[in-house]
Amino acid sequence: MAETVTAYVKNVRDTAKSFWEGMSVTLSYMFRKPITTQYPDRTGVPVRDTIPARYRGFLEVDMDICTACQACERACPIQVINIDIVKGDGKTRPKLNMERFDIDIGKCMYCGLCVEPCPTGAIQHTREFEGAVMAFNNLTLRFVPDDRVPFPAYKVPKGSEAFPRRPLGEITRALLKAWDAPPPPFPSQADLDALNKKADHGGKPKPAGLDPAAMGRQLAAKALNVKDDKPKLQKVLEEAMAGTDCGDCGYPDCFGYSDAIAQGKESSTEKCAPGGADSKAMLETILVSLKTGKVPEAPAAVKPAEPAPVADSRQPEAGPKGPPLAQTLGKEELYKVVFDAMAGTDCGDCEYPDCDGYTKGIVYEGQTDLNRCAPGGEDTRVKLYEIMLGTKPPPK
Amino acid sequence: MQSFLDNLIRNAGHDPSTWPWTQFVYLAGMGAIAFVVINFAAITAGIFSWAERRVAARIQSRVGPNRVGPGGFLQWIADAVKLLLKEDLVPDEADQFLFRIAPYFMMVGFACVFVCLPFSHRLIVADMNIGIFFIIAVTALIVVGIIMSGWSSNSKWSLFGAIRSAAQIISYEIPAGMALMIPVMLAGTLSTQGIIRAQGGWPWQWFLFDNPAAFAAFFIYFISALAEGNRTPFDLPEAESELVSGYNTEYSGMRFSYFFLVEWGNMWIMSALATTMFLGGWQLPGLTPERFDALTGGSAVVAELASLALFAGKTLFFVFVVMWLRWTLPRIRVDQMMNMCWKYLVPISFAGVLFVAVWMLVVHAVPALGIAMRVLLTAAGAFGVGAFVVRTLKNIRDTGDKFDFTSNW
Amino acid sequence: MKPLEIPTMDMENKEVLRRIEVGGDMLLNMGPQHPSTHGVINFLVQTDGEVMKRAIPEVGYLHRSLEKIGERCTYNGYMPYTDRVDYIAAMFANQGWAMAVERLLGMQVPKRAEYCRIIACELNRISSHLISVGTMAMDVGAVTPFPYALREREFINDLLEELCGARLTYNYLRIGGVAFDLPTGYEEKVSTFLDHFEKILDEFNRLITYNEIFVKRLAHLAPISKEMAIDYCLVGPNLRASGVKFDVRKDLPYSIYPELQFDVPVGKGEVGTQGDSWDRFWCRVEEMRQSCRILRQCLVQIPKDSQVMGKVPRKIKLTEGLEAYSRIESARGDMQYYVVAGPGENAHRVKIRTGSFTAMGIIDALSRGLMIADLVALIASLDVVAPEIDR
Repeated sequence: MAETVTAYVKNVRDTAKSFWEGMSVTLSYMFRKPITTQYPDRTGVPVRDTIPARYRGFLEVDMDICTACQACERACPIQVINIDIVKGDGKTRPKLNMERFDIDIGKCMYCGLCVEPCPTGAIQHTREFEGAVMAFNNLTLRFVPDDRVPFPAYKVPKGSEAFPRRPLGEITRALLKAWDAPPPPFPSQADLDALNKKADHGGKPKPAGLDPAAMGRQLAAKALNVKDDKPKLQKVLEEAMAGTDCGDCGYPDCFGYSDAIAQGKESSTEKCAPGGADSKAMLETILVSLKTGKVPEAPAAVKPAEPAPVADSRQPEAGPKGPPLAQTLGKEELYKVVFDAMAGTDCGDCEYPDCDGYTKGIVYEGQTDLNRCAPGGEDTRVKLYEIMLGTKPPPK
Repeated sequence: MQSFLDNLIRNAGHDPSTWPWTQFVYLAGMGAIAFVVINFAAITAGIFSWAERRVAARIQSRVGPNRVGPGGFLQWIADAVKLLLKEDLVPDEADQFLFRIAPYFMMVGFACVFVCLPFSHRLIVADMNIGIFFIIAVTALIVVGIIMSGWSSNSKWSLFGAIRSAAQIISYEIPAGMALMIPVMLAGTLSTQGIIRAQGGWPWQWFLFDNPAAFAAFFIYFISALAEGNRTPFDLPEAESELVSGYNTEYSGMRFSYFFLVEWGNMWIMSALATTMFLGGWQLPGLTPERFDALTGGSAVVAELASLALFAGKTLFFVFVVMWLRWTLPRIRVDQMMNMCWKYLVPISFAGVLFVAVWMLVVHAVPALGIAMRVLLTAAGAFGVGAFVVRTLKNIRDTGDKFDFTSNW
Repeated sequence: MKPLEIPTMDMENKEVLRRIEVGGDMLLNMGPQHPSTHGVINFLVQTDGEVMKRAIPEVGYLHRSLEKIGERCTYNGYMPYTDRVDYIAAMFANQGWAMAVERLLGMQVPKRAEYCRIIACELNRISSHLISVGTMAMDVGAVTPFPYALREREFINDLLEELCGARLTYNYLRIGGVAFDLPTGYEEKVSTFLDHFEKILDEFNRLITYNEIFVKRLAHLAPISKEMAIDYCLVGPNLRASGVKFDVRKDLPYSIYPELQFDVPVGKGEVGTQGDSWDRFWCRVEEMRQSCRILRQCLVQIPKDSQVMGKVPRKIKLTEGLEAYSRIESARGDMQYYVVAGPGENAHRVKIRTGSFTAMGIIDALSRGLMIADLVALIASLDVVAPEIDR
């Protein structure tokens, strides 16, 4: 009984006490300054200026110092960055030209992984964060405003430590659309026709583009001349690379990689990511010619070979054909042909990490399943069967 | 009110008992008064909605709505217009008829209370001799509206809210009624004006400090009133984190706004009743009701306005306390709510009634004891308020903040 | 010791509940859109009036295939995804992933980077627990402690924003180190915040922790015994509230925790039974204090050499089939990553073990005989985060 009474009284007392404590705390807040700010219009200074320098806002690319190495595009886990490159020979046209550099800030997750590999600091997060728009298409920032006027890549001066950059935020601020800006016009029929015409080139070397095979032979000839002069050889090898100093190869810059090859320390030719298959082909041509001591007279082998599968696919019933390309071409050339046949999306659907892997699997490792390239679809299947077996693909 | 209208008729040269239009004048008078009262209730409820948001914001270290009108004061009009213009949705599966009329039941129960609520010395719609009884009776109408809305919504969450609300309001009528019996006993009348007249202007003349039982009864009444008004810590019927929104989950637009109008309007009712019963109502310090009655001319008007202001001031303070409590305390559970009512409030209030009955006899015999108790309780109350202020200021200092009431409104 | 009654969670049972209201009981679908389920979770509640017979959690509404994504991304590219495993305590998910891959690589992280990690993680632990205790108070009906907790969390967010540039999905840790060194003057800022925060914690305790209504609501509510907590694989504060003194930081120390002094708060049943909801709440409040202690030591001990990134190849390619396992004490308890290296630049298999998922399992067993309002408090006291449950 006494216990019950004690508990009863204690409950009443505790309740009163917690009212007392709690209410004195809440009342005290009536007489303190509210912690909130009145965004956006009553904040002393603009919020943008109050956030720390490391803030990861909208991305910005200073095209003037962009080396077109596409390291950011590769680092992005969600393919927010899209860069289209046209290649030149490095003499009449810059080696790399950017037709398109789009960042979809509606898709971006602001992780900052693209900023880290950038060799020149061209791509940076700004402190801009106010970009709400009514039309979703307006969220794409186009750093190359017109794809008919490609932007030449920045050539990194040797040994430079810092790169001149426009004030951070200036470019992105100019690109951000007003919240009620109309969306970009829907492509008209004429636009679509123009696009189709462009696509008819099949994405293969454009008229003014680079012919890596020819250039590879040129470079190989040069390399043979300077065979024993390592520094000069290094220069020739570097010419075959994209020259972006992106560091993707694991060496600090293009010099490091080419020097390693010239010294014979490095045997892999596929590490130049911006140069892609072209650089690899050129480097291999050079290395092969260094080994054999003569420039390959490839034109006869490659040039007629290329139209062959096309001709075959056009006249599938044209009697007995010659042996498939797989038996006539060297492994390196075959690699290029097979690689070209693929969609080139590196989607990984083939269970190889990328197209390169699948191509190697077919050419070098004896992979016999030719049906794996999902993005390429039927086209790729037809081509692969033509190249490898000289037959029509079996129906699925 | 009737005498006021009778006077008007007499001044116009008619005898109210024989004039054939008397009843129509009464009707017109009733219509006018009802219009005024309902508007008063709606407007105070609207203003409280703004005030509650500002108070809550400030308590939570925020700013609150401050854009519409000076200090955001017109926010409630903007909200009301928005709610009026919204679509009045009725769920397909709901009981259409009950769903539509439920809010009006609540409005009726709520508006009827204002009939007996005093505002100042003379300002009251009808000073009924059963005032308190009437108020307790009509507030129970609200629960009918809540149950109708909850049941007719045909939603389980709404039903839960309605059932909780019914259990809660019905249970808490008992301690509330018993607590209100104590001032009634002390004053010897059920009339609200009569109870105020029985008190005085100074704090030690209030019923609050009359004796310990009345002191306890004040808190019991206040807690019960919170429960009847569905205010935290008794907001179980609309417990947001449990029942989504309780009985009004399915409502929208104007019908939804009725529920909240009643909730905020109820804050005035519970506070005005507390002021009336325990805090001396409109009594001006140093002016006895008899002298007040005798005042004429300009001084009568001034005194009337002063008493109105005093009454409103006390009421608004309690409205603030209700808001303040809401933003401080957690919600209790439904079984604890019942526990608290039947195990704590009801027994204590019954004991209080008995104690007051005895106490009145004692004071009748030894008047000095009554005065001593008043002084003691008033001193204790003053000490409590002082200690609370000190504690509050210490809170500000403890966290390294400083007193700053004016900035960032 | 009575054998534990393990309730069945078979689909058939669920379907029965869903279709008919069993034996006159009411079926209440609590969620997926409900203010207090802490995300998109559904609870099938079988009730008889206010009193529940049982509540079955139904998870999977927020499943985003994060483990599969881990097999598709490069090791570095998965780091921002780990932020999304538990968005309230993203730093821990970062750390678990980084540690797992570092073990695959067999590398050591520079000392300063470890300190940066622990500073960031402990700040994050405080902010996560603040959300937890704040929402718990709000679910019990007290709205005001929540903005107070969020206000303190905002200060931490400001600190973390200054450190790594983001307020929620930090992506601060990298495989082999951290992305940035501490900014200049950061140590002073953190210690100023800690001074302020410890006072606020006292105030918070007075406002809500020892509030009578709050205590009455949570004391004796859904107590979890030691055995039951272990049987149901509870981790973190939920486990420690039941009296099991297990903290990965102490018992399986990683990073620099062996060099730091701190206590592991254990539920004592101060106001009710051991392992009740109030103990779980209190454990979190105390852990915030311990985190403050850890932070103060880190700020003093942090080495001044500025190396914050170890030597990591730009493209991480590992021998296929290598396995690694990392185990860290996240704000929600034992968080574990299991990685099997794949042939290329990505993993063959990623498995994440999180505390919230196991906490969901116990709800069915605990919910019997509770009231609906208690279920809300129970879910809040287990501190589940929906994305962490489903991943």
